[in-house]
Amino acid sequence: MMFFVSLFVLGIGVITSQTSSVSGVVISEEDGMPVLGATVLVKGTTIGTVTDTDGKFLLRNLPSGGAVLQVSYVGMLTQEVIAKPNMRVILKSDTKVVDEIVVVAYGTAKKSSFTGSAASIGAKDLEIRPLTNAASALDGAAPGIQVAAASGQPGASPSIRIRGFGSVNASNSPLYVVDGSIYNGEIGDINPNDIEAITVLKDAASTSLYGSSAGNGVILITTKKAKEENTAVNLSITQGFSQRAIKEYNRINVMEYYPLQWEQLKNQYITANSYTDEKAAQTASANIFGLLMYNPFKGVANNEIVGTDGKLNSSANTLLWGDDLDWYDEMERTGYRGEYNLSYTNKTNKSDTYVSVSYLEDNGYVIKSDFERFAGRANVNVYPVKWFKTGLNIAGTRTTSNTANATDNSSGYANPFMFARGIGPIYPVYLHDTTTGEYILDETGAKQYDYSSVRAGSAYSGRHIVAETNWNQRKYTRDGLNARTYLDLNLYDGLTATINATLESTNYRNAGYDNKLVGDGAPAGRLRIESTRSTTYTFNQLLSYTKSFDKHTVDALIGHENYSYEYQYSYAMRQGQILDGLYEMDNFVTINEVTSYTDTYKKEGYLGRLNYNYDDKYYASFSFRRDGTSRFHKDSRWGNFWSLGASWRMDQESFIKDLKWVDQLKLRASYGETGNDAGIGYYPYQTLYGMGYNNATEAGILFDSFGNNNLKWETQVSYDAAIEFGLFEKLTGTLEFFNKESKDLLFEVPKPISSGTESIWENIGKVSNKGLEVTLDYVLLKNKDWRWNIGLNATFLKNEVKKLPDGQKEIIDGTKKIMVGHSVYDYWLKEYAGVDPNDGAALYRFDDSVKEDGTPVQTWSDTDGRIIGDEKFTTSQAKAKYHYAGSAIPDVYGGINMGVKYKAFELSTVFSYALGGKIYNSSYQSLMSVGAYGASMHSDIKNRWQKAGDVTSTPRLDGSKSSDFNAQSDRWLISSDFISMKSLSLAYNIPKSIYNNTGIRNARVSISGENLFLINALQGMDTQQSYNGIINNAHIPARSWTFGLNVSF
Amino acid sequence: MKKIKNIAIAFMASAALLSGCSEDYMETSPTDQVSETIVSGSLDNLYIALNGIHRSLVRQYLSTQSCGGEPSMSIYRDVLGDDLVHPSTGNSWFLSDLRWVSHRNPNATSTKYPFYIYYQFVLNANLILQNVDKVQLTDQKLHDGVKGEALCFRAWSHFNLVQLYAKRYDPAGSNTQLGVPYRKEANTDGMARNTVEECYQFINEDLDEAIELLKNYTAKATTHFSLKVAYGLKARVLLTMGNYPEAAKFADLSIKTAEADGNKLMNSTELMSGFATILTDTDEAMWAANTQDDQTVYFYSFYAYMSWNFNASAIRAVPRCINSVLYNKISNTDIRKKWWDPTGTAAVPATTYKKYKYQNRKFTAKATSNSVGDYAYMRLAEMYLTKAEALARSGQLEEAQNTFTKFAITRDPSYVASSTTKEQLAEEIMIHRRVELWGEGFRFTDLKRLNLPLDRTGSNHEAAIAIKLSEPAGSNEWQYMIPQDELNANPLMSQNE
Repeated sequence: MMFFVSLFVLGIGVITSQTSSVSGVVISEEDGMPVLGATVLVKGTTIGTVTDTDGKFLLRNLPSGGAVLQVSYVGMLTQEVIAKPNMRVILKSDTKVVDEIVVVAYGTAKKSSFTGSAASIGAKDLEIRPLTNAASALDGAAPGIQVAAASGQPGASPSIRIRGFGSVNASNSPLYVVDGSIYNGEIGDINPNDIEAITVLKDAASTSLYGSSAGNGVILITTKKAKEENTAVNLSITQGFSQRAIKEYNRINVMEYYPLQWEQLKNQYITANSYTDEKAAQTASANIFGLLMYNPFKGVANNEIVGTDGKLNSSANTLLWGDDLDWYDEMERTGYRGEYNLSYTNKTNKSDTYVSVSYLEDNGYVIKSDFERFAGRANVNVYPVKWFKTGLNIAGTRTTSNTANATDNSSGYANPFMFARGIGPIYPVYLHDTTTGEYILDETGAKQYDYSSVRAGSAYSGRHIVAETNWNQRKYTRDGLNARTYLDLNLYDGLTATINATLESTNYRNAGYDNKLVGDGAPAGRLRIESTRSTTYTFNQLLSYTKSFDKHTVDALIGHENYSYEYQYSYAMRQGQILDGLYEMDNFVTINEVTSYTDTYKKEGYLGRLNYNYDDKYYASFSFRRDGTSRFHKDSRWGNFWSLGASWRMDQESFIKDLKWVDQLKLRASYGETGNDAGIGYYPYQTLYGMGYNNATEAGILFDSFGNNNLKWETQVSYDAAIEFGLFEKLTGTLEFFNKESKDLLFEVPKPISSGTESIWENIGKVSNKGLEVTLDYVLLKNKDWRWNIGLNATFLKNEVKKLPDGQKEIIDGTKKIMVGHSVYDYWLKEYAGVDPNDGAALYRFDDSVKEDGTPVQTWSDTDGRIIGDEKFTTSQAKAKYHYAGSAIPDVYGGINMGVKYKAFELSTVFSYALGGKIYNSSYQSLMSVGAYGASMHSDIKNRWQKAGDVTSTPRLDGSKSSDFNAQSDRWLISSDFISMKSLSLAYNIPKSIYNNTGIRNARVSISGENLFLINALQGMDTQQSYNGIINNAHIPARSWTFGLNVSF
Repeated sequence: MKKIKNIAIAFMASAALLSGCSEDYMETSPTDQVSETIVSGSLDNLYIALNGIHRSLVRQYLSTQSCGGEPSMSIYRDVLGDDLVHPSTGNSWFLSDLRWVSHRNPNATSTKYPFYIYYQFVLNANLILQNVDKVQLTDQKLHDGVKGEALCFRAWSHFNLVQLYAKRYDPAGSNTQLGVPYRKEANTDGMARNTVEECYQFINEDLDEAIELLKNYTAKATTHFSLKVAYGLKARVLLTMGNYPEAAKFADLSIKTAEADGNKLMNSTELMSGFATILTDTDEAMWAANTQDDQTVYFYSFYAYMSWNFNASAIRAVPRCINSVLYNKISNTDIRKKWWDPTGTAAVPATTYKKYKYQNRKFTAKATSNSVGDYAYMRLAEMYLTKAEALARSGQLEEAQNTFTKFAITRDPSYVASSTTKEQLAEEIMIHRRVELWGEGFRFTDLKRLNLPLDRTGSNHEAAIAIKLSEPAGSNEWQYMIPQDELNANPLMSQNE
């Protein structure tokens, strides 16, 4: 089968004398492959065609006599050749940077004329990576974009920050705009194969038209549409598997464990009960089993596991259940991922159509974690007459997902990572005979989970993560509908009116069942069903005008937009399961809770933009938007947002044009203001009482929160200046300085607990995010067979609080203290000063500060005070001095990417990295804690203090000192430096000769890996878990390998 | 063609015009919350807000399983004492409090929690109090009731706070030591600590005013404050202040008002009914939570820790026990001797339940799968014990013995008075108080008010589990640390030693 499309692109109806026809083929110089879709135009006329899939073209009805053909293709130099039969036109690639089209607010712009700052990821980058969630592709992709990696739960979204942290308590998340409308749905609901481009708008000049919503940057997602005048079908299939990406922390093993726990108990007797060393050792040997409750050693009496010398009994060498101690082993599996995509496009001169259907199955490496997505999209545009255009872009998805048992970062018992990490190494997963070690089987001969025996309290007694994960259900189903339509009317030369209407709807149902044998649902069994429906309407009316005269080009846009979001929530819970295996409400006896509510959020905005271009050299852009929001009181509801941008294409100046080594040079700068009202609830200005607090059967309501009528927009004031360059046909890059200052920060100001309320939303102070972004791309090698380039991007960021409200010196918020001159994520922690070599006690710097009246904050006492040298320390954490202990924000972060192309092979890889920040590792803190009998311990505990004179920073093991030794302090800060290989992919374009005459136009096979390695300061640590630096037992990301096949007809 | 174009333009223009929004387009309100202005608009609504406070005494706080409102506070106050024993470490809830660790850590949930809940009750009460005299006086009795109850909340909350966070009220001293901020206004300003003397003065003033108001009010249910409860609170406060004659007087008023109201001491059957049904099975509760089955309390329920039969790991692994020394002081003919099983052999619901000697049988959940139950904040027995103790300590031996006997024979039908001195009688009453109110949150504050040491030695408290076996009276350890979050946000606050 052979497609042969020959359409007159331009100027239909030009009829002249018809005398000859000519045919030929267009070949790319770079790889010798045919060029598909190249335009072949008869010079001086409007007669033309495009090449077919084999690069061939045929022009009939040529005017007689040696016509000159212009052959052009995006990214290649246009050639002029004289028409003759059986031509072979070889196109050289255009080494100068292609003038890309970038998607901008309410329209598109040529990259060369764009005065703002944007980074873009194209379909090509996305296609080759097996991403379930397209936003993951932003990690390391461009400067100014910081990513907290998605968890290992399939389909999970990463969290993204653009140019630092403009807000503290309000949302720092960028605005997502899909095909021109604000998107509230899940990014995981968008099939990455449908995405034409993801554009990240960073500065005010590019974002301010989104005004109030744009303060944290904007991520524009543009879906595909038919581009070539053609009918084509594309099929891709990928198959892959996944595993856990990060190794577990090094932990104490079963043979090491008992003596350490013994030591902890012995020291506890000495400290807390004043036992002699000998008595403490004897009592500890007699009692340690009583605390741990499991003896994993065969033939060793419970009171003889550890001798009074603190050593493991020498006959403790056979384990009763040595093969059954790995809880992770029971939690994990090899994940599987399969994806099937079919899309077809059709384009004529009056319409274009893109349709895709896809199916994805992604089973995570943790049991009961999976994601299944059916997605379909149709993007149809018609333009029957010149002045009228309309279309519909509609996408529907159905997502079903089991989410294991965990909520991320949850410290609940149902968190597999907390449980498997935290349980001591002596406890088996299955039930065993405590004498023989044999499995105790049930009547069917199956092993039984060991959930009924009592473990030590810190070994999650009464709980069993494997059983609970297997027997419980956490399943959600989500239906997403996203439909956009528009009317485009060309009213007058250059004047166009457009109406856009978008409906986005997400229906979500989450059913959670807790079994009645073990866990939160025991003993009755319970079922929770949560249903939500969110609906977003966006309706805007735009009027645009473009006019060129002489060397001037002006385009203007004015518009009005309505935005309405509604969230309906209902929830029911019942307990008392009747029959097994039925997960509907009627199968449960007692109603525990039935609630519902509706939240509404509305915005209205007026917008305008004026772009000016002189001679394709000088560009200026002004935009303005006025927005109102339902989140603020009517008197402080409206905000004005605006921006100014300018750019100078120096490479168009004659004095630069002459410099052969300069391919491209552009200067640009912008200033503007954008807003933020997100993440503060929907009604923060209202003082509210919550309903549903009935006293027995009498109606009751309870105070909920104080409102603030004066609350207003948080405003981001941004400056941006950049130079973009291309040199020696090898090096391209951008150097960009930005300063984003957020004023009137929306802050949930902590109030004294004694006031009865925890916080009130207020506009406070100012934060700045200053930074330098560097992007460099260097072509190392480029010839007929090879193309090898390496790119580096780096963002140097400094976040600083500039101002706090009058009279307010500081705001302490958990592990951070916000103060002028410090970042919003600067740690404020007790200063840990190591260990007293005499007795192994944890030392903190003594807080010797004084109150305003001159009296000391802490009283010095010789029982806990230690003077070493001439410095004062204390063993009492309550008397420790707080200090600034570094920042969670790295000094520099970014990505490295490399692409190698050799003949039909393409290899590409992306790394991301960060340097100079610190992490507060609460997982490590738990593993290094004393006093939790039965809990697992980090191997670093081996460095503990043991006898007088030991110099170490790990205190003695002493169960009575949990408060002082485990206290929150800078002891738990660890460098967050990392480099991580985010992706590696290798593709091979199968030579056409193999599938000639099959109708196949292109075929490609590929292999791709995600999250391949991570180098950081501590094994087990998931460095990219959060921005505030506090990490805990979250779902570790997945590493995957995927094989792909892509065929187009 | 031109015509179509014009129609299209007209259509678009009208669409654009119609989309211009009306004034109230952006006025939105929640559907599950109501505005404060509505709440403060009428007496009836203030009464509804008052009910909310009562309900909030039994709800979960700080997303923590051991923070189930006032009943959980009772557990916290008892694990700090000597009478409640954890026989194992098979479950960690309340363990670090048993060990006297958490309440001394400003960052611990245990220090934040009492501050957090009692001041929430205070705020809610103050919001009512600042409006109750402004709204239209539709019903004088209702007005007096709402105001009286709100005052009770304010006094009772501060009373609980000052006992935990401040040094004890010393009847012989001037009590200038720092207490807690006594909040009378609903605002979020920082506030310095009042002295202990000031706190008690304000508590008494609020209670006195409440008593006058509640004389004019009939509470709809035991879930409300009423005159008898206000008298009872006043008696509690005076007992703590060591003002024994006055304490005895108010305990007596409380008893009389309660008994006129139908309250009766439990009889021998009722004593064994397990407390979760105290409102339906007995007449002893004067003020209690009446939690409905659909007001689920999950694992934060009192009965999820303090019963012997509810199927929770806290109970299966750590059935709560009584101090063996105390148990052995109970007379063999005392019905309450059956509240514990000294042998550790009594039947349990399933083999997964651990058994220990002296394990609890006092509190029984309604079912192994149901932790919802009534919880009495004040019952008649406490008032008898208070009156008897106060009389004894003030030297009115005969009256004290009479009052005490009246109570004791309901517990021990063979009870015979035997104490001959003031000290003996007071001690005898204290033993009964410890037994009677075991698990109900009195022991720590009793030790503190009487300036007694903590002594867990020689009992079934194991050193490895309880760690802390003794603590001298009057040490700094008896004061909860002020929560760090409060210090961070309130520049006027100061920390305890």
